[in-house]
Amino acid sequence: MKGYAGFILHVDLTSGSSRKEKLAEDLARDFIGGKGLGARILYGEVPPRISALDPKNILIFATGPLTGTLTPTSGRTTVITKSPLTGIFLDSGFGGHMFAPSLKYAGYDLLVLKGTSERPVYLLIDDDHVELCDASNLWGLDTSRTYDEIRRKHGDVSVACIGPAGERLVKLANIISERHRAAGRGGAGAVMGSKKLKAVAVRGTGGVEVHDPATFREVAMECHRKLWQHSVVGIRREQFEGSQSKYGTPVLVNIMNLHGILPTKNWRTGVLPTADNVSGETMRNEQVIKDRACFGCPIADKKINRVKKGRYAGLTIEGPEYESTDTLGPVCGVDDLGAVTMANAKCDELGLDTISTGVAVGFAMECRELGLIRDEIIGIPDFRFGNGDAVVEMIDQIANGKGLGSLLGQGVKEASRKIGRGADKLAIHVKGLELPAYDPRGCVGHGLAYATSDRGGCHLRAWIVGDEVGVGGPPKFDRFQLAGKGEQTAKVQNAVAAVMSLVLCVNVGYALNESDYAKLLTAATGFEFDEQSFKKTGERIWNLTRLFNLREGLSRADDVLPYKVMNEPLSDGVPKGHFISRPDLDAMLDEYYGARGWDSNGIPTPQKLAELELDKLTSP
Amino acid sequence: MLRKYLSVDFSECRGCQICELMCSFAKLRVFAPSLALIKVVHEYPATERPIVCYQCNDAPCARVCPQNAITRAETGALVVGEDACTGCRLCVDACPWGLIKMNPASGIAMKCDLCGGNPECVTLCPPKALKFESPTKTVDNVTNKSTGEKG
Repeated sequence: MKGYAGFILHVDLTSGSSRKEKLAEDLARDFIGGKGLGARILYGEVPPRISALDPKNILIFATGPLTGTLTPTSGRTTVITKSPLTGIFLDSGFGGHMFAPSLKYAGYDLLVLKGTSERPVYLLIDDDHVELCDASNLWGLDTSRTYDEIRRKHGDVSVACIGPAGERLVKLANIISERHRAAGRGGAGAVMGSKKLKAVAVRGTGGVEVHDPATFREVAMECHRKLWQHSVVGIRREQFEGSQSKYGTPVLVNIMNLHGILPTKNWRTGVLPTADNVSGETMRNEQVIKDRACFGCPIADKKINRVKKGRYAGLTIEGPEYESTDTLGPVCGVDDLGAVTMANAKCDELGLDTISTGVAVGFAMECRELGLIRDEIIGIPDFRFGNGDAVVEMIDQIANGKGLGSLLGQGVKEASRKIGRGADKLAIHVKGLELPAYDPRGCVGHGLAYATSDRGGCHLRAWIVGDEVGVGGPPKFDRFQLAGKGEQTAKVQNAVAAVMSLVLCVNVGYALNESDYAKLLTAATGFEFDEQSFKKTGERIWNLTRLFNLREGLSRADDVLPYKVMNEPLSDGVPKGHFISRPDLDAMLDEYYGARGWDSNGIPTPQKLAELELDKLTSP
Repeated sequence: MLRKYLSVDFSECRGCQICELMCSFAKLRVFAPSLALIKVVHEYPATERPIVCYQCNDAPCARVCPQNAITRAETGALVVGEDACTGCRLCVDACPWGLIKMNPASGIAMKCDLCGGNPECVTLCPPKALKFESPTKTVDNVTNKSTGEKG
């Protein structure tokens, strides 16, 4: 079975034992890798309705059949687990140099971790050598120090680790690789912390062979060239003025602000007059010192930022990305680029999801303004919208579980429940996952994508907003029109689920299509894939994550949007007066469920499951 | 014709390692950066340093080879003679850049041979930080980063 390493590495942290299992060919063919294979294993291994922090929960690091090859963006890792923040399915990925490629070069497609260690440990995978090492001297260290210490001891290994937030089981905790690459969303870092696993370090000296080398080389090179020439992700920065490759994802700050959907002051408005202060253009002009690419990626939209002025001058980090910029910036009313960069750096060091953390801080600022939280509890002076230093301080509190931070670290859903007095109306989340940086009141299809995303409020499962406001081309749909959005969302979710099972970056989707992916997959593995079967596999994977979530007790009632989005019209810019009412959402949901072959409660019909060959999973 | 060299612009390299993938695939039909004959070193926070074989004059690898198996080809590359090489690894240890590897299949030494005059590593370098060119051309194109002057 070419393309794959051919083995799954299982490590039981309770007993300290590990074993290699052969990767079954039918599983690989049906679920590809990454998200798909991970979801399949999660569905089979994790008993329903256990706590995500229970030792029985598993944590999977997954690669795909194209990982470590010449395919553009082949260096990404997918983490799959049950989320402590949402209580449902979670997959979250990170790029960077070498984590997933190393795992595969060491001989493993997936790493499956279960159980919990008594003492802090880290896992060392050095080709065939698998060892749990004592991590008592690493416990408490931030993610950069952890990375440095492990590499001081073991040389050139790739590392994924948690920071103090993950150790303390903060539900916004992420997993950080190579200092700034994050499997950010949904609290995977807390799952790792609950297993007392500080880090995974990998070195692999083998390689990946493909089924049809000549064809594979040709197809992969063609994919690279397509990306090179694309107006959004193309590599000739002088030619593609205004591109993501030139300005990084923060190029979206000015674009979304222009369209009136840049979340600002905890979603009070979608327009921030001073947004350009934190835009990708301003970053490029003022503080970007270097472009960086992830492994195998021609786009290179990672920007190394060095803060040039203000109290954080001199700080150098990779990032911030667009969503981090908005949630740690405008969502908290902040337009100070130095403070946003510092807030991002803090999150990375302490191991916190930038998106959820920013939204939680913005939520708290609004709560305080409305008198729902008293100043004595906050313990940070002048904790109001626009105070970037207060955001930075609150991030420390969240990671350390101090004061109000201990509440915010549970996510806005839980925090608002505990605060009471109507705070839930200020909590911006879907299924417990805080929303990223696009206000769906000005892009209703994107709202449907939030409402139906399999991991909760997420922009990466179907980036409908790009087609609604027109990023890299004219809009493909009327942004306020309901009809058609259900079908489109289902279609994109299926495609993205398959791409995330190859474990490629969603940005390749600008220039590549299902036909390209199918060709790559076929040449790499020898499995006969075409456009149709590739899409079908994506649909199978999406239905599987739905089954997981239904088993956890979710229903149509959970495919819902935050109170503000459904009840309070936007007050500024193009989408002024717009919101997504209950009937609006219902209309889109009905179309969406219909397009999916699900019943009106959002449950896949027996016929659909049979068609996708998932029926054998659900029958006893 | 002037000899061509692999030239590297550190300031342009973004660290994607595509050159390593192209190299190992060209040599072994496998994607394996650890077997590539070019190496991108990531130096935090803001430097990417691709290391290439410089085809040294008075090269340590050729000097230590007891079989005299490493000889200079027309392209200027130092090439391992596959029949002469016994796989003793002395050249692996001698290379100051760590760029000589052992072929896991044949057990003999592998080093950069400039792919016979068409180096694969250059082919897909997105920012064209890697080039295969003659030195005069290189000098013409170099911009002094501190002064902004050419040459």
